[in-house]
Amino acid sequence: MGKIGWLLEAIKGSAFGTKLTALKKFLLEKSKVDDLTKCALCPNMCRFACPVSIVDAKETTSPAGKARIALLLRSNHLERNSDNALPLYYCISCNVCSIWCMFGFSVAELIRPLRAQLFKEGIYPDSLKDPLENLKSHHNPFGFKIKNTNTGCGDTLFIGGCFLRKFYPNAAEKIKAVLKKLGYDVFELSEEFCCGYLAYEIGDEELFLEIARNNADKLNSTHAKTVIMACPTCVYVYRELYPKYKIKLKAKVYHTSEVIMMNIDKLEFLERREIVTIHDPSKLAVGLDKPDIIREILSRIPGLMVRLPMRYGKNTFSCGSEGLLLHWIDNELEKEINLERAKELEEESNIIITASYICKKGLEGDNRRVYDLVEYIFDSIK
Amino acid sequence: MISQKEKKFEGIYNDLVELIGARKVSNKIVDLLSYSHDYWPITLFWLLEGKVPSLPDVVVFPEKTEDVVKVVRYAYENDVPLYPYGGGTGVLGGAVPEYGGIVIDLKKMRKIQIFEEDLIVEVEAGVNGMLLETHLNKKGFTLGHFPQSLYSSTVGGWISTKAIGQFSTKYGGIENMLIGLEVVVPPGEILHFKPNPRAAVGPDLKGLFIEAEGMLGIITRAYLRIWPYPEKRILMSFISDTLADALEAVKNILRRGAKPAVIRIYDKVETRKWFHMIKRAKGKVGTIIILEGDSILVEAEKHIVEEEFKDAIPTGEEPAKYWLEKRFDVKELPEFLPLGIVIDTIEVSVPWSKAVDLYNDVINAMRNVEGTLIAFAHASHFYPQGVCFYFIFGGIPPKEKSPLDYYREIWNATMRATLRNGGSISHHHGIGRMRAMWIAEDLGKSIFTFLKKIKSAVDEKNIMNRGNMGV
Ligand SMILES: Cc1cc2nc3c(=O)[nH]c(=O)nc-3n(C[C@H](O)[C@H](O)[C@H](O)COP(=O)(O)OP(=O)(O)OC[C@H]3O[C@@H](n4cnc5c(N)ncnc54)[C@H](O)[C@@H]3O)c2cc1C
Ligand code: SF4
Ligand code: SF4
Repeated sequence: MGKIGWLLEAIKGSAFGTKLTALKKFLLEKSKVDDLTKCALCPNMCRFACPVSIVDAKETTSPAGKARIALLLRSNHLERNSDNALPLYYCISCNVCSIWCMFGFSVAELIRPLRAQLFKEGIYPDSLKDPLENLKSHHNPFGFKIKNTNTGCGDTLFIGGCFLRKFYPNAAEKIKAVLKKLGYDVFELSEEFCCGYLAYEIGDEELFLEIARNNADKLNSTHAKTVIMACPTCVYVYRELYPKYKIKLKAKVYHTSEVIMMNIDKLEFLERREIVTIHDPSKLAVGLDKPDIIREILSRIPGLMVRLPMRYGKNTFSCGSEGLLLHWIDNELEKEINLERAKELEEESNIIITASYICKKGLEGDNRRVYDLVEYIFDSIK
Repeated sequence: MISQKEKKFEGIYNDLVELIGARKVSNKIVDLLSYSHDYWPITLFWLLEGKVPSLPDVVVFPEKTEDVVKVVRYAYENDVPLYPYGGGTGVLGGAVPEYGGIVIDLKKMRKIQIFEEDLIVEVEAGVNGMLLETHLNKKGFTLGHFPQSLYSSTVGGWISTKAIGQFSTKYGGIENMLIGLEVVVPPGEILHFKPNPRAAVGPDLKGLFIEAEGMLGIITRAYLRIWPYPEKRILMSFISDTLADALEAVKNILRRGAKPAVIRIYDKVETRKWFHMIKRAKGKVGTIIILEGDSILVEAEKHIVEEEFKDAIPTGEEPAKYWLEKRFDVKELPEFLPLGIVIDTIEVSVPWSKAVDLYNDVINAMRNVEGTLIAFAHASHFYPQGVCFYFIFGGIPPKEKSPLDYYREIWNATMRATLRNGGSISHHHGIGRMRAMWIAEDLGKSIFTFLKKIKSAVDEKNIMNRGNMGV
């Protein structure tokens, strides 16, 4: 008796005509019901895990709420304009919904094709116009040039990413020092370009592809065998998205946390008698499938006590800044999510360790000391 | 194309912005649309066709009780209907803004505070169910309230619909958990029922707001009983020859004072789903039992359960494990509704003496409606006095009938069969707009009139959830 068999059994008693129609529908039409429609008809069973939905607290930006808007826009039951499309951008692509969804859906992925279609029609939020222009003119959404001095060549390339270069320009030195302890003598590109994630998020597929190809060419021309990145989103883009678009890289791409884990025995840790908590960036825990990596690394530091927050691992709660979309769309909401997460973490400790400079910035506040994992490791090794 | 053809109440957007601030008010069409329905299945059917049941004029998102007071006062002074909204998981149209006006979404109000020594949690009305439970678990407690909509519904919605969870036989329904309340009533007053283990200070007025579905006031805060997180859990299952046999065993378990957290008796059709891994279950009635709590008590309860199910075949932990894994899996409606298959669930309650007759009569009544494809049930909430049956139907409206016609017909057949067998037309979903036409018959004329009197005494201008329950 299979899991579906019981349904066939259940319809046995119904009228012949009804049964026949049902079987026809079941056999011929069921596979045509697309995932977006199913999500639109769901009672929001992943809502509690969605940072945007919980903090924004509106039906419109709930996971199924966004799917409903997307469905009605797609079927032209709702006028396609940037006001009506705005809720579709209230998703930071953390993909935590997919962990809880009984269908395994990620709302971000369900609405992505529509974002791309709308972009082609010139429909996307006004607030994203500037960062998109910057991306085209300066190769990053912030509109500045990333110039590095430690250029050259070698086996291992380090890419800090535009966020780190913009907001934590000195952090790269500590990261390079830790990498050196791990056995990586790294070089940098004279000019770093954004991975293109924002273009991907907005739905500008053409620009994303152009950036991706350009980045791949640059990387492939360096002869590096390993690329280490400070930003988990960049790693996700290079490792998961580029191949989807058939863009090949010669080098292997890693996040800093991954190379620390791979070479952890090379580090000699100091004793640290303190209580800390952790924030798993969703791109690391869910996107790159590394839900335990921060915990595992910290467990090697003698004396250190790691207290887990209410939400961690694959069930992490994004800091709200990941992907940076909310930063431009609704800065106030971004700050609210930042604070919501920070307060949750503070229940455990005011020393917070994460593994992304975007999350670090999002979580920083008066009473909190927030570290990127590598920074904390830098302070904890002999 | 969906648009707001006419504004029913002019000027309220600007007024409300002035009162509580622009970020807490919206009149964008996407928001109006999102609040035009709840999870009433027929309205979801319409949604696929781009039709909306009824658009409000504005939606407000209060962040504190004072915001709610301002909105209620405004609605009262200007005669504008006001519809409270929680998670929108109500399945009977209780939150549909039938006459336009203001929808007030409570989800921004979501503070939680635990009083560990008193085993009380204070929660704002918009707190999400799963977040509340996770919060409590982290501190070593549980609420014991697990409606299938836990992941999506809110505390305010639970109280307003008299919700009940899957572990109800041990922990009770929300009414057994509620020991204090804050409500804002017209014309804009705060009633604060302080939490106490029990009180005998006049009639239980806070009880008025349980299953009031937002018709008397807006719940802004609740005080709920909590429990230490259970020390032990035991999973059991049995197969019996008949529904009557399984019901009899459960009745006796309860008579002996045992309180399994979960009891679910599936009829022969549904047993095939939940006991699919047990070959011998074909043609039988399956029962799942979960015991939890202090290990000494749980062991004693296990003993009682085994004694009372001595004539049934024990089938181990597997069915209960499978249920635990799948209990929040609600794929059916999203998968079948787009195929034109109308599906819904109807829960009713009945004393033990009439239980089997009611079950048979309702199933026959459902099957006799032309177009019905499936009709089956389980019993999932139990009392020493009786049981709740949860019926599930699905059908394809025949060519000459609209989905709405078929839907109404099968509901009517079920409600009629329930009433003629001495049952109550709702055990926990409430009345909403769907069940409004049977409420007077269930309660009796005089009680229904009494309810109307209470409604007009509390809400003389009928601003609160106007049109709901047919009151
Ligand atoms: C998949 C699924 C499974 C379900 N399982 C169960 C179950 O196991 N047990 C159960 O009991 N129910 C169940 N339900 C029904 C529903 O979840 C409950 O009725 C729930 O209590 C509704 O809560 P909500 O927050 O979604 O309220 P809503 O649907 O938003 O509102 C319900 C009613 O309460 C009113 N209301 C909401 N908040 C307030 C407030 N703060 N003050 C005053 N009035 C208010 C609304 O106006 C409306 O009339 C299920 C529903 C679904 C979709
Ligand atoms: S992602 Fe899955 S669980 Fe979330 S709303 Fe969509 S269908 Fe429901
Ligand atoms: S991807 Fe993240 S932000 Fe987007 S709907 Fe899913 S949980 Fe919410």
